[in-house]
Amino acid sequence: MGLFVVHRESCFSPRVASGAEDQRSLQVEARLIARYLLGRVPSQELVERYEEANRALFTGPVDQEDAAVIGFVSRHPWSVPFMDAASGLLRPDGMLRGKILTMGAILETSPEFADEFLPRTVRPTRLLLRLFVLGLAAAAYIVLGTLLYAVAIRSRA
Amino acid sequence: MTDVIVVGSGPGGVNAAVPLVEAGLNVLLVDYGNEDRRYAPLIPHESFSEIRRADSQQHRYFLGDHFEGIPFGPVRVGAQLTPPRAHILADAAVRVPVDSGGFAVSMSLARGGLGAGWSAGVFPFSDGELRGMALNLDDLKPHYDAVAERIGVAGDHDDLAQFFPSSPSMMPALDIDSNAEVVMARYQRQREALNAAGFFLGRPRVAACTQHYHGRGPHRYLDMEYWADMDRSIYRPQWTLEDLQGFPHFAYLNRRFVHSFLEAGSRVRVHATHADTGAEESHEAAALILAAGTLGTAWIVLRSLGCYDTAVPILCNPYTYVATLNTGMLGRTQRDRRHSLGQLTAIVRIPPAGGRLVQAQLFSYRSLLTFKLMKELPLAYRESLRILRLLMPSFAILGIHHADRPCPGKSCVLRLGKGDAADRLEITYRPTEEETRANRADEKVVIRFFRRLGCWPLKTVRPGHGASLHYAGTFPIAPDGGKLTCDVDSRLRATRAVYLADGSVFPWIPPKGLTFNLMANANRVGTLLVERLR
Repeated sequence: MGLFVVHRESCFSPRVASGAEDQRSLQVEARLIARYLLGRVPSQELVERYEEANRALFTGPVDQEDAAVIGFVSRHPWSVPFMDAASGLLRPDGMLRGKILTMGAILETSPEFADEFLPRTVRPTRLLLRLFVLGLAAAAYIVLGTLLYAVAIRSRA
Repeated sequence: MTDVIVVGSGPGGVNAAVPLVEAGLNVLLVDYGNEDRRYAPLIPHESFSEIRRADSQQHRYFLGDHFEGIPFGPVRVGAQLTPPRAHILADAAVRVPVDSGGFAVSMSLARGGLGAGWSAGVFPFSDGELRGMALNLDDLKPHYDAVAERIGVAGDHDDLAQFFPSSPSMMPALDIDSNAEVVMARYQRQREALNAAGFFLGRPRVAACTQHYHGRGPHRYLDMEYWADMDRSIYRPQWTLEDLQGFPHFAYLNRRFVHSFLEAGSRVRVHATHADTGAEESHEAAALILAAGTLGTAWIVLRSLGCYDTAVPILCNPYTYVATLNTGMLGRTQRDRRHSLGQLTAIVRIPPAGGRLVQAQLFSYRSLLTFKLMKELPLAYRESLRILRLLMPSFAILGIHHADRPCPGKSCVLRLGKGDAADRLEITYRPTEEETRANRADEKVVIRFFRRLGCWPLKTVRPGHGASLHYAGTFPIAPDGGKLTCDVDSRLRATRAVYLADGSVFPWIPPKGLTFNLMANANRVGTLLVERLR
């Protein structure tokens, strides 16, 4: 069962899910993305909203590169941060980014997660330190993610 | 018997209708009149942060019931039009089809027109600017004052006063947020040097009520301006329409799509389609005021006169966003009490003296939601979110407007629809290379000044031609023009009694918001027509 679902309307047939499997996979996907973004598991209501959003937003055909990335992440859920980072650089409008953005939007507009998206104030020295650490982490994810991304694309080819 | 028909309930239409109705004339306002009935009732009258922490239904209006508020792809024109504002553009592209290449077209068939989502900037043209339009400040000043009194304007008598004619009914300015306070404090410290170099900063004049005013306001600083019209503090043309509906000799006919007019003898006949039934109908009056928005009016005029394949000019202020980091805000807390409108306005006089002006507005970012900014960083979303939470209070977004003048590359043509297809507008907008180069150079000057105020540029976004939505200039006022121009009364020369009261009549547009100016001109058109019909 794939964690990232390519919709049944898509042309990417090998990983097409349907019916109950589709629903189950989207739910797993929702929890995985929420845990990745915020380190917390969302309520069932938010998971269902994510399912609904997927059915509304991801209805078009899926191209091969998206299919390869989604397929890779489905098989290797640990790779989400890396593939997200690489996609931000190489394929910012790709399907993986779209799905993570969608979950981000759903989490942000729920009272239980709203605080996680509101600005934080820290002292300037701590701010600089945090930015430095975050910058390093982001760069590392991009470097490793770009390598993984190439592997994912090649494995599809 | 109807004296005057007004087409469109936007800023031009309602402000043209007021003097007519107040003079006792019988006025019929014909409108399509789309409204948001889905989201507006859901939005609590609470502040943005209270809503975020408490309202379990917030996803419905923030994201939309069909998740239409989640943007994919690059920043688009009208990105600030949130799901509760989406009705503003609904149906227009179908009713008035436009082929526009890279020129962004946003038309409205909403009650209030594009004014229903107006950012409320009030920037009257100066005498020098008006003289380039065959008008002058003496002509327009009484109408600026009348409109300002009607809509309620808040502002300050500060360094920008020399660029904007004074307004006697002005209320105290809206409070600025912490971000803008820091920028303003830095400006004050360098004020003399900056002024000498041609840079002036002040509080924007805004069509908002900071006091109780005609049953509206005072503004409550809930930071929800992109989503709802709380307390009616911000002016919308719908408020004037409601006032007009209180007059017995004013009639409002909505769900009508006006597609042509015909002059016969001393009367003008307007043809419209009922939006729901598709039935054709016509209405007659002594005079017609078209205020369907520049593009809508162009479509109606060119069809009515049979002017297919005839090019008329088209203008739209070039617009660029620059995201900057306000270093003075790093480590400081943003006050929760704030609004989402422009916080500060800058006017830059590009050297040499007497040269071009450029206008910039400074905005802070919060209530359009963080996830939309995450998309703009080329990083993993998790790291983007963590970085944005730290930096967002320090973001200052500059919106830079340039003037626009006609040139051969900017034109609008009506093409006959094939078979049953509707006639289509075809817009070409190709500024000269020199113009583009000058605009880019001017942006660098603006950015340089803001850098002196501690705002360091992070990213420049050019959303493309048409992005400002300040469409204008299709049937310009010209002292001695052809039949597709207007006389100084805004009467279309090809007609006996058809007047234009939107952006169509401006032969060039200074780098300021157009809306308040077209409202003043509409009020002038209505006033002139009263004299003529009496």
